[in-house]
Amino acid sequence: MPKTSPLNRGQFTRSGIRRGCWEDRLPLVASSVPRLWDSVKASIITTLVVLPFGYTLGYFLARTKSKLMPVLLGLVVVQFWVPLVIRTYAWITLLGQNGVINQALMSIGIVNEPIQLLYTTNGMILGLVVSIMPFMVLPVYSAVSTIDEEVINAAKTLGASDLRAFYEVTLPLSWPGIVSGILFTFILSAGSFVAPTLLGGPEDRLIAPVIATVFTTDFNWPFAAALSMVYVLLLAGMLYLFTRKADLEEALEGTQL
Amino acid sequence: MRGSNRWNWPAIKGVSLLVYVSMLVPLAVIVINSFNAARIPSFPPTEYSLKWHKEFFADDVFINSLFNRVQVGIWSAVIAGLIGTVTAMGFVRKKFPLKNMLSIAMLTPMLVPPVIIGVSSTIFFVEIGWERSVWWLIVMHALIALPYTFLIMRSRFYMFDESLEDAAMTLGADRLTTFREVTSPLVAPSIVTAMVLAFVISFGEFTATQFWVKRTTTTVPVVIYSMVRTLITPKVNVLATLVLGVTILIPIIGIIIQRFVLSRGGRA
Repeated sequence: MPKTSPLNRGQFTRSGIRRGCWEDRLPLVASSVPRLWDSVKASIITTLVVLPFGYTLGYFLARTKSKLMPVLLGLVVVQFWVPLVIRTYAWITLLGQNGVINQALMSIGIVNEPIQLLYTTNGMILGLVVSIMPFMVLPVYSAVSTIDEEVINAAKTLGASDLRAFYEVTLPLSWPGIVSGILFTFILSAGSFVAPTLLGGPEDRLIAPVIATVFTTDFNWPFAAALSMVYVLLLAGMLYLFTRKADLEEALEGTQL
Repeated sequence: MRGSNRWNWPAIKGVSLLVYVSMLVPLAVIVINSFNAARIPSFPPTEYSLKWHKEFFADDVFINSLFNRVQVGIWSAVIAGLIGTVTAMGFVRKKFPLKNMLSIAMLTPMLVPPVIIGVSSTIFFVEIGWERSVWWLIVMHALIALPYTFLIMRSRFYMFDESLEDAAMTLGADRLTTFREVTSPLVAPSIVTAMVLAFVISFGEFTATQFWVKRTTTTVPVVIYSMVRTLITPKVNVLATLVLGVTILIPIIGIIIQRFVLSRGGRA
């Protein structure tokens, strides 16, 4: 059997596992390292975009005095209920060559001809960011809303500027919410499947779609299993680093209201 | 002074508005486009009609997938709700070795990427010779939803006043009667919340689910995904609109049930 030939499904037997084909599979797994790196890179970018926007909305919801606040909070919670596939494919109509965004950009005069947005990395990141946003907004909201405003006022009475009061009081006190939001954003974007396949370009082959293709189209179950294992080990390593800085269980409870 | 505790408030409002627009406009476009008469969807529609709705309801595949989905969702919500309740009760009230590690283990379905849950469970089920059926979906969706029901019920049991149970037992009730008459009415509203959440998770799950379905047990997100990937037909917007309606209605129904349970529990 040549080293790179896809192993067929029939060979995936108990004895096959025990015999161990790591030597055969290692080059294949090594070839997927760029895919793993792409996934990690996409999740870091997504997290960096989600954090400021999600924090701002969470802060807004916690501090607004508006009577519409329950409705506004409800609109965020509703995002959890709508299936991810629907929230993602909705962008196809918006991002297309004749889509709303291109029409808007052309009517304002920013661009003269339609720009490619759909099936690009930017399109994929946009889809990821919007679909993951509620996971940042809600933990930040619950963290900020527990901060006593008197504490912030006290800081200002003692002479702190608005900016300084934010950095030295509000931000540290809302840290648990931020940690929880970052954890969810990272896990969800590192494992994302729908946004890369529906909105991403041919070069956006993140690890999750690659595993799925190897599994269902090539029927190469052992390779899919090997890839999954490498991927899980990578995530486990990152989670371990996370637990050294924060409490994992507490962070996972963060999306509850 | 109004502005004193409002750091850069107008900017915060503006960014928040932007986030709302990005979350809600895509959904609005789907709903509006389901009334679009054109075959190749463009936005805004030039002509409105109900023809895709008519075609949609004439097609069994959609109705079946929707029905399937609700069925799987209800079963896995019940399973995840019950197991989550019992486990949470044990975790809060009993002492046993390795408790911290085991509670992280309970939460692993939240941490493992859905693609890997799908791939590994499929390999496992095939290895043990379990025929692909709707039970794959029910069992695995219950598993995926379990951490969420567990967390909800655990925080409920932390707040639970155990002296109420002691009182019942002092008055002569046995353990089972105490659970039926005292414990369960008090935690019932949280169980309803947990089950609604489990249903919603099961209803929307796609990435892992795609590995478990076959033609007769296909589900809504899988149908939508394959339609979007292959032939884009405007009917997909009708299905999505319908799902939007269902996903917004079901939690509202859940809240109504919860109020009902709460009012009964309050009287008892």
